[in-house]
Amino acid sequence: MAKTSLCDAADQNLQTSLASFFRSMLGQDEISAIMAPMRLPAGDMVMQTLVTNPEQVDQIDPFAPAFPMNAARLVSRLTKRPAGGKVVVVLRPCEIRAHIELVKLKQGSMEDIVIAGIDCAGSFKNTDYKKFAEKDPETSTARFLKGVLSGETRFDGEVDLSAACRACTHMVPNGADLAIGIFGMDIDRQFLVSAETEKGEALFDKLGLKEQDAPGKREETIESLVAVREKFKNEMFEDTRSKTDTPEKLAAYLSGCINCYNCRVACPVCYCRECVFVTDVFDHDPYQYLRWARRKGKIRMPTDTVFYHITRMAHMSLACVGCGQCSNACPNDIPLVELFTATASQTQAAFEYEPGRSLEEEPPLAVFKEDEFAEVVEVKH
Amino acid sequence: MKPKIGRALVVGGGISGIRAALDLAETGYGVTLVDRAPHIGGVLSQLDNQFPTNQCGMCKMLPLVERDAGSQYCLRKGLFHENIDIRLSTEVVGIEGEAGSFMVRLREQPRFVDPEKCIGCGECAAVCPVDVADEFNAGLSERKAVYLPVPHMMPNTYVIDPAACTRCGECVTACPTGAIRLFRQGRQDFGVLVVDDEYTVRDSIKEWLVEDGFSVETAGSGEEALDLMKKQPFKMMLLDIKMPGMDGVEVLKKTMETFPDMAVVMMTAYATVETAVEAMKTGAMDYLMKPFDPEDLVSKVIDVYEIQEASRGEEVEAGAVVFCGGTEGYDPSTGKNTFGYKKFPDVVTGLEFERLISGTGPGGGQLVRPSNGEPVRKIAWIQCVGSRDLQTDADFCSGFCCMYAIKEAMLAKEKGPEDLDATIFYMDMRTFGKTFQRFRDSAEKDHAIRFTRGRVHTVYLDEKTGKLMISYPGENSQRIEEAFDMVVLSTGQQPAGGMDKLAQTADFDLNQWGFALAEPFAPSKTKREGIFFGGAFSGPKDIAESVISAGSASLCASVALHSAGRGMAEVTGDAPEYIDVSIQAPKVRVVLCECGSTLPGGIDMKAIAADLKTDPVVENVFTIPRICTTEGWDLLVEKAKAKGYNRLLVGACMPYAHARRLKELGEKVLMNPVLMEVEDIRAPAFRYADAEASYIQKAMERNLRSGISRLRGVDPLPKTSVPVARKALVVGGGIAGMTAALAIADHGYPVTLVENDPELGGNLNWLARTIEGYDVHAFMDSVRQRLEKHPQVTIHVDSSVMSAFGEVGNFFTTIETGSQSSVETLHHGVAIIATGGGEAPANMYSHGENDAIITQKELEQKVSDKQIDVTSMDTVVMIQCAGSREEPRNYCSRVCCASTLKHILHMKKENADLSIYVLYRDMMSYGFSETWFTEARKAGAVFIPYTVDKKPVVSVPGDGSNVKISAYEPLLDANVEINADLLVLATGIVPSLPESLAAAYGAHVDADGFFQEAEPKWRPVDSLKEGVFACGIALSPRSVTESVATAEAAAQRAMRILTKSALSRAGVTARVRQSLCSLCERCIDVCPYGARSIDLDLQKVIVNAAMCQGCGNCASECPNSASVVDGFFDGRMLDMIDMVIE
Amino acid sequence: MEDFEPTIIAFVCNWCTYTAADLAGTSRQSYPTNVRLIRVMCTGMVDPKYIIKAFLEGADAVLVSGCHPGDCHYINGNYKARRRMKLLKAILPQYGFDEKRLKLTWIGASDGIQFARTIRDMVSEIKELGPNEAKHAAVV
Repeated sequence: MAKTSLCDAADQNLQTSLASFFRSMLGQDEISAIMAPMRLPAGDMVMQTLVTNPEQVDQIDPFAPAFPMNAARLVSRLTKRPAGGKVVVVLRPCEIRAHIELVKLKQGSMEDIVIAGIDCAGSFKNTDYKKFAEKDPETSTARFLKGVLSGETRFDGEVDLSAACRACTHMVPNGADLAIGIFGMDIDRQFLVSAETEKGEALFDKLGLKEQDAPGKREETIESLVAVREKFKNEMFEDTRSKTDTPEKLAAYLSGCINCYNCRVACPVCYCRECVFVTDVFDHDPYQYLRWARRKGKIRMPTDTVFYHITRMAHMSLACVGCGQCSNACPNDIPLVELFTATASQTQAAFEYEPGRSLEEEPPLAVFKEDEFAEVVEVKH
Repeated sequence: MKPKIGRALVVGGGISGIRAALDLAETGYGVTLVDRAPHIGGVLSQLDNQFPTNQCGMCKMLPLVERDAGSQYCLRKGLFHENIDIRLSTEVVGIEGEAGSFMVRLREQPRFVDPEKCIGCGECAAVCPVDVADEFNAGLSERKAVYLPVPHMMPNTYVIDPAACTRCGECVTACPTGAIRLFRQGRQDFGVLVVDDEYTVRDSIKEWLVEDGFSVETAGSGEEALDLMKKQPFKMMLLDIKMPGMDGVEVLKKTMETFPDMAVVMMTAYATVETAVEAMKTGAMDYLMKPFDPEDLVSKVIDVYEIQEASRGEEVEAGAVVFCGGTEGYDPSTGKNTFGYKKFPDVVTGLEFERLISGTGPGGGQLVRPSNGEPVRKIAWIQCVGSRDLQTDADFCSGFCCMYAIKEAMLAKEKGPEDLDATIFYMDMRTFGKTFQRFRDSAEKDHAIRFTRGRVHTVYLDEKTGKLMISYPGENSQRIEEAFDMVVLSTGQQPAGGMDKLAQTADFDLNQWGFALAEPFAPSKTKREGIFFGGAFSGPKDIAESVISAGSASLCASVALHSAGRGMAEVTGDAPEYIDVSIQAPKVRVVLCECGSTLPGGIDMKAIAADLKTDPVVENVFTIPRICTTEGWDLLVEKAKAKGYNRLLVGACMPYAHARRLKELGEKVLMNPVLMEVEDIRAPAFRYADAEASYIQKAMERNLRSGISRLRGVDPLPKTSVPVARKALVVGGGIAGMTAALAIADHGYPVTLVENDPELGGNLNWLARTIEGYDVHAFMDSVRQRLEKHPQVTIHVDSSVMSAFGEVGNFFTTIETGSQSSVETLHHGVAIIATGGGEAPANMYSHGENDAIITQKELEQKVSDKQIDVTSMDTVVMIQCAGSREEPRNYCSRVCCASTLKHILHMKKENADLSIYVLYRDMMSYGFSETWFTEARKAGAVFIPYTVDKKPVVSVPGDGSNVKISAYEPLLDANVEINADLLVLATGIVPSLPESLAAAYGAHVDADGFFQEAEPKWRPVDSLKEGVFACGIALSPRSVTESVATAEAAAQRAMRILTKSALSRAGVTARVRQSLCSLCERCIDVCPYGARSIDLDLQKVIVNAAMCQGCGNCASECPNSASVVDGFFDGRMLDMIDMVIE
Repeated sequence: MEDFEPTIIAFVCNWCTYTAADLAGTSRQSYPTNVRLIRVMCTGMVDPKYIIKAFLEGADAVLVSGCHPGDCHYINGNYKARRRMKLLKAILPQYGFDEKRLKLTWIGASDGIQFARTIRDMVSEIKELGPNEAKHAAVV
């Protein structure tokens, strides 16, 4: 059973109390830095920031509905090789899950980090966040959280939570060392801190947190939120599948794609140094284009668009955590996360694999059993 | 100049012959491999499924290092290695000389089909009017007189069976390439002289022979004949004996004086037969008795003609000869009890069963009753047909029938209806090999195969039901009758035909059963220096043992060649300096073979050429009438010599055949052969025989396009290689380790031997003699002394391996020695693990509670020290399988039953009145030790079987009286009580291979702690990790002689590596494009050969080019083509997919 | 639809199924002309990309065929291939590439008849199913 504690929100302000909580962490000898979403000095954007000076933790705002990139890519950068100090990383659940997948792929490690995961209420698309935040930057996070906790998904009558978040059922930070909870809490008064691992417990003790039980309505709140999202997810999958269930329809769905590969750059689990689609494998002879055009009468240029997206599904759908950064990154607003999660739900089910669930679970294609999947093999006598 | 290398002759192209030939070829020797059959593979070419995978896997025998020297395709298609010269339809007829320099005379069967010209189209067989039993299908189907010996063979050259062929000539006419010569044409030149004083006789003979194409002259008298001979040459004379004037004998004498080569056949009446026989001493070849059938006479002349014309004798030089002639299957129709074989079609032999269920078999793999084609629902196997049978002079166990019967029963379950009932009737299930017992258990438990103990007496047909009835003794000796749809006779192995003659020719001895006789403790050695045996030639063996035995034989041959000064020198012919085209854009020249006029009509080569030329990468397209002819090849060379292109695509048939010649072409025109491809453009005409020409033409175009596509992406890479530390490490100094070390040292390479104990010898230190009576200690001493004196051997006793790491060619092992704790690190290229094993502890049957209860080892020692006085005893009981063959030690230890028999015979000799009871589960007296089982029963020992659920019970009375054993006796259906003076427990063998030791070398141990071989049949002494081998008991329980065989086999595997200073990278090998690699290491996880590793300092994934086999699992696992397999680059593959879809 | 002749791309392993396909040829086991063989060393070498590419180019069906379990020349490549096929079967049908269009079989070296039969059966099954829509779509 995890140790839990309730931290009081000073001045009824979640952000300042979070700041002092994290500042106290930086006060610990073994913690060299904290990486957390912070408000940038100029403008309204919130970005992951690596802080070593306790005095500069004030701008921390992990619950802000801004999700400019999946931080697993950053954690990977910090942990790929020894960093020479321990870093507390403040992550959303989908970032933790993506990091676990990256660790399995040897793109990062758990060695020198303490993961402080947050209850995730979701976020807007980048453009929507700007619209939402500029109305009142100071109170935007609080406005947002209150709205979400009271069941809202549409804000100011104009911006919605991103599709990825509305369909996300992984709202609590499984896999974190320390979990910071807001669901079922009166966030004006307090937030929940629970130690989920030995590492987390050590820090919990060092911080001198006193053990208190989580409020009973927490589970209930989470369940009802998940139920809403589950429903949305299923409808989204159904809708997406009906829009892409033939090659022609899929092509139409992806017709805006300009082969910029931003989606894969933004994807936390697309870990290749360089995507195969930009290597010499796809460096076709000019003659080839003419041949294709001749064969089919006409051919869409640039080519290999659908090929790219389906191949990407083969490569990463098993590790897809549904964070939605692909959609965020698309310059032409192709609803990619809908497409990818709909497929990932199938591939993950096929192998009973859930990305980010456990470090112990091998990526499905790296292993095999002699006696399995008989249904895949056509047997004739 | 190429230095002279040794050459060995391997006789027999079955599995052991292939193994021996490949081992020697990989070691660097030249090999001549002969087989009297027109194909290689022996009986294996007829078997699709092998225990324990019940699949094939024969290809795993192919070279793993330096594999470009040989073929990389299914062994059923044939074997190719640049050091192996294969002679089919060829026999050895003489061996002169001595080890190091034998002259071997070979005789090749007449060849009627020119393999250079035959394109395998089968037009000949389509018109052949002759039907004969097809031996490939064990006689279950028919073939033509012109036929494919095995359907897979590549190139698929047809052969003519001279015995069946009527020389009608239909095939000659039908052959589109003129590949068949029946020598009929040549008969005109074959002059026959017929000499007889009776006009009608000589005239009708002339008429018959002229009709068959011979040119014939006649003579009415001896004088006339001699005159004619002076005027014109004759090849043959048919000579009457009784003639007025000069008689036949006189003519013969005179003829022989002037024409000693003339083939003379005497014609004789009954009265002068003796004279005719006499005449043969004078030089006549044969005689014919009057009156004769025209057919007999003509066929005699044809025989003489063909032998003269066609038989090509040849002498080859060989430093050593390895006989791998295999065995023959027993034919039950020749036995006293035929079990209805050949009488009832549903009674078949094991081999026939294999053919029946084979995809290439007579029924295409359907399991149906031969009598009526109905599905088989109930099937029985009868064991020991032609084995363990004194009536057929087979007082030996064939050793492999039990396992093949279980396998066949499992296959029947798989191929037959779901409710198929399979029963095996047996005396003892001899599951003595590694994993065999578990296989049997699984057959019984998981596959519901019924095992019934009892000798079947009769098989008869129930006319009413059409079922086969089997009668066998049940419990209480009651007779049981049971009906089956099909009965399979598990026929055993017999010495191959012609052993006597061969033994005489080669000067080796045969044992009492007619197999080749091996020397004591030297399983592959004959009495004649330089002549060796491999495989089942010297006694029945299964595949794994044959492969081990072949390795042992090739090792002995290698030592013989080496000591004759012919070994090991590397052939370092100048590697051609190919023209560097790496910076040029690809330009493909296409040369198409028009294949004579054999392509179907309507195919327009010009249109194909025009179409190809639309691709800018194609430089030009040429056509050549026939590439397979010498002129055609010269034309190709000419086309290849021209400039202006840098890739060559040849469109022809039989790419297998041409691909080899590309290397030669490359040397001529200085073009790297990887820049050339042969694309099969004939295959579409075969595959789509019924399609329209336009379709076939399209298919040809597609094939050529994919060839172009492959060439477009080729990027010749510099040859890299892995250097080899040419030293060996052997861990374990028992007989296996000592033998292996000595074998390598005898080739002149340094060997370090590490032994835990303060003394070498292992189990041989306590083992006194073998069942045959050979002196074990004397043998051990001779080996040890040779080893200790050997300049290349370093021995570390009282030492152990502390740590080890590395890969083939370069291992690093740290050895710790004794109390001084001196530590030394060795750099070596191969590691042989020979850590042995010992007797399993006796923690059952009250061992330790009474001095009269001892183990087999204790008995051996007490007998040898004379601590046991058998003469004063009344009763001895022996319990077999004490703790063996059931979980957790569910394997047979192989040696205990033979050891029991040895002790019985010894004790009975000392005290004939001694009562000996053996309580056993299955007597595992496999091979020739069956004879000792027979002897032991004759000597009066009583054998009582028990089952695991009814084990004997041992009680030790507190009063010091005899040990009591109570056992269930099935024949009496009652318990018997035996008071024994001595109870001997056969506890079996346990290995002493530390898991960590195996792991240090990248190898593994199996469920029982023995060394995990790479493949139980095809690679029985290798680990999956190249460069690591095991032998002796570390591998599995074995007798002394069997351990020697494994040690020699392991040494031979090691020699393949040690004889090279570097192992070079093969063409199809994976590599890493480092700039793309994200170091996710998934490729390392999926590599089955452990060929990949990560270098943490360099931050790079490294591929060991010698270990990589080019399977491409790494490449398909790598998401961004950072891992690529040369020859299968993704860009090229995608391009090819494009090309073939059109 | 009468004239529809499906195109089947068969990725066959060098050791077993390629031998079987050859055997089907030499033993005159005629099989439909619809199949296009692409020889690979091992089914474990068949990159999912190849299969996706084949379908997008308009292949009506793809067959991947190699050695039986336990018989893989490369020890276990066929087991890994089976997982990749499982993956693709979870992806492709969603986009209208019917699962029947993608098959994995184990065909041993001696199973020439089985190879011919497999192709024949596939052809008739795909004829019933109709052409792959991507054949005429202007996309890859």
